[in-house]
Amino acid sequence: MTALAFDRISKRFGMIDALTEVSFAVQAGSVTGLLGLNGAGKTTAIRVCFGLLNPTSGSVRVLDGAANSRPEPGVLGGLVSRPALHPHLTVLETVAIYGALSARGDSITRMSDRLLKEFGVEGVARRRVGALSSGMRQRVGVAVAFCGRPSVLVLDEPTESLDPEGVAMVREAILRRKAEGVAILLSSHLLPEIEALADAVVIIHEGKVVAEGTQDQLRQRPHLQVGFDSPEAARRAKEALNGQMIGAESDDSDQRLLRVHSEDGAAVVGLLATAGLYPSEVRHVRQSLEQVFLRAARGHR
Amino acid sequence: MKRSRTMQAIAFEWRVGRRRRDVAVLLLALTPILLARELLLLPAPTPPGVGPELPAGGVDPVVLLQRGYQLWASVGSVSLDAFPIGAVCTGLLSCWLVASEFDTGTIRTRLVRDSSRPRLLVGKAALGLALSGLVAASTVLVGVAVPPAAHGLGLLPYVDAEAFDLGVIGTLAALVAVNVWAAATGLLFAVLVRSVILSAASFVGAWAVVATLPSVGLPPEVTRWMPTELINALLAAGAPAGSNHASMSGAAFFAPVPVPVALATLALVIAAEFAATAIVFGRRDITV
Repeated sequence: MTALAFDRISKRFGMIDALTEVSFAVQAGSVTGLLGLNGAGKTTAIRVCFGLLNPTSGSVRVLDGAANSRPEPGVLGGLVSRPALHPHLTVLETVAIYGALSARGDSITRMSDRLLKEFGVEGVARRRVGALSSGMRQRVGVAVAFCGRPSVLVLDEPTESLDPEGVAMVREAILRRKAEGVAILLSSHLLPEIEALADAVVIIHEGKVVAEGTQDQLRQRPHLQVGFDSPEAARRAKEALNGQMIGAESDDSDQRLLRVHSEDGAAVVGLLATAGLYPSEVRHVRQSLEQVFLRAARGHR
Repeated sequence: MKRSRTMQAIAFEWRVGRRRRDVAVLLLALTPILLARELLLLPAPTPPGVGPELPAGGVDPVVLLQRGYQLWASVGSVSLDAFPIGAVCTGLLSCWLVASEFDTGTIRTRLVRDSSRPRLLVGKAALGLALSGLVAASTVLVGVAVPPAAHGLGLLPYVDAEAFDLGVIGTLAALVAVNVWAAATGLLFAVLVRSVILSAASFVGAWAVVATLPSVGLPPEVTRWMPTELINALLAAGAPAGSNHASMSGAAFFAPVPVPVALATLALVIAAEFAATAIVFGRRDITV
C-alpha cells in the first residue's frame, strides 16, 4: 500500500529549479532511501512533504488523504535537517510536549519513557536540552521525530553526529517501525546505512529523479568489467568506446580495468577489435550501491 | 476528556512559553523598572511651559503629548502612566515569541509535528495575549502603588477631562485595545521579517511613528480614521468624544468621534493586521 506519494513535484526558488517533476512513492512497511549529492534537492523534497515549502506544481499525498492536504498531527512524523529544539526545556519535557501535540491515543508518560529509553537519553531526562552535546541533542531530536506512533516517518540525516551506539539505536528503531508497518523515507549521505536499511532507493540529482527501484533492480543494471594487459591499452580502449558513445570509466584501483556501461559483451569486444584492441577479460559485475549512486549522479552532469 | 487539536496547540505554546527564561526575566523585571521610573523619573509636578498660555477651556491631551508635556491620566486614583510602556513591552514580547522561533529553527520542529499553521498562530496569539495580560497587570500594580497623588498632582486644570473621560469600562476597553494592537503589530512584523532584532526594531519604529506622527495638518475628516490618532488618544486615556477640543491654534485636532467608533476603528485595524499575519504566515515558505 502506498503511504506517501510524490506526484510530479516541482519547486522553484526565483530562477532556480530546486525540484523538477519529482515522482516516487513510499510503501507501508518498507524503507525507501533518498540519495543525492549535496544540493541535489533531498531536503527540499522533504520540506515539501511536511508542508514547510509550498510546491510550485505537483502534489504530495499522505496515506489516503487529499493531494497537498495537511495530515492529522501524529500521522506524519520525522526530522528535517538538524533538530531545532527549545534549549530551556528539559529532555523529558521536550519529548512530552511534542508527544502531547501529536499523540494518538497513547499515554504521554509511557510514550516519553519508551522513547527516552529507545534512544538512550533516559540518563539525561532532567537536563536542559541547551546543555547537551550535539550528539545527545540529535538523539533527542530523533526521539521527538518518533513521537506519537506515526504511520509515515520521514527522516533527514537522522544519524548525523551520532556515535556508533546512537547509530545502532536509530537503525534498530527504524527496523522496528518498519516491522510495525510504518512507511519510512530515509535521506542519508551514508551509503552503508541506506544499503543496510532500504528496500528501495530513489536517487535525486539536480532536482530530478535519475534512478529509482529496489536495491536489486538498481544493482543489476548492465555493467561490464573489461581488463587489458596495460594501462595504455585500457586508456585507448576507453577513448575508442567513448568515441562510439558508450560510457567507459577507468577503475580507480587498477588502471588496466575499465567499467563499461553496456551489457552486450560481444558487441563491446567486436568494437574494440576493430580498433586493434583485445581485452584480457570481460565479465558482468554486480555494482555496489555506491557505484550505482555515483554513476547516476555523474551520468547526469 | 480529549482536547481539541486547537486546545492542544494552545497548551503546547503555553508549556513552552512559561518555561522561557528570557520572557520570565522580562516579566519579573518590568514591575520594579516601572516603579523606579514612576518614583525617580516623574517627580516634576508641573510640565515646563504650562501656564497662562493654555486656554482655560481645556485642551486635547494628544496636543499636550505632542508638545512634550506629561499627562497623568488616571482612573480614579489609579495612574495610567505606565500603560504605554506596557503596550510597548507587549509588542516586543509578541515579536520575540514568534521571531525567535525563526531565528532558532524551532518553528520547523513544531510544524513537522503539526503542520497546521492556523493552529500554530492561534496558539501564539493566545500566549501573546496571556503575557500581555500579565504586562497590563504589572502596569496596574504600578499605577496603584504610585498614583498621581504620589507626585502631588491632581488632574491638571487645563486638560478637558470631561471631553476625553472614558470612565472605568471605556478606559479598560481602550487599554485592552491598545495592548491587542501592540500584540497584533508585533506578530505581523515577526512573520514579515522573521528575525527578533529586525522585527523588534520595526515595531519600535512603528510605535515611534504612532506616538509622534504629526497629523495636525490634516483635516479632521481624515484624521478621525487614522489609527495613529486613535491610539495616541487612547494612550492618553481618552478618545475625543462629543466635540472638538479647543487648541492653541484654534484648529480642530479631532473630528467628533464617539468612543465606540474610535474603538471599532482600532478593532478594524487589529483585524486587518491579524488577517495580513495569517495570510503571510500561511503562504510563505518556511526555509529555516
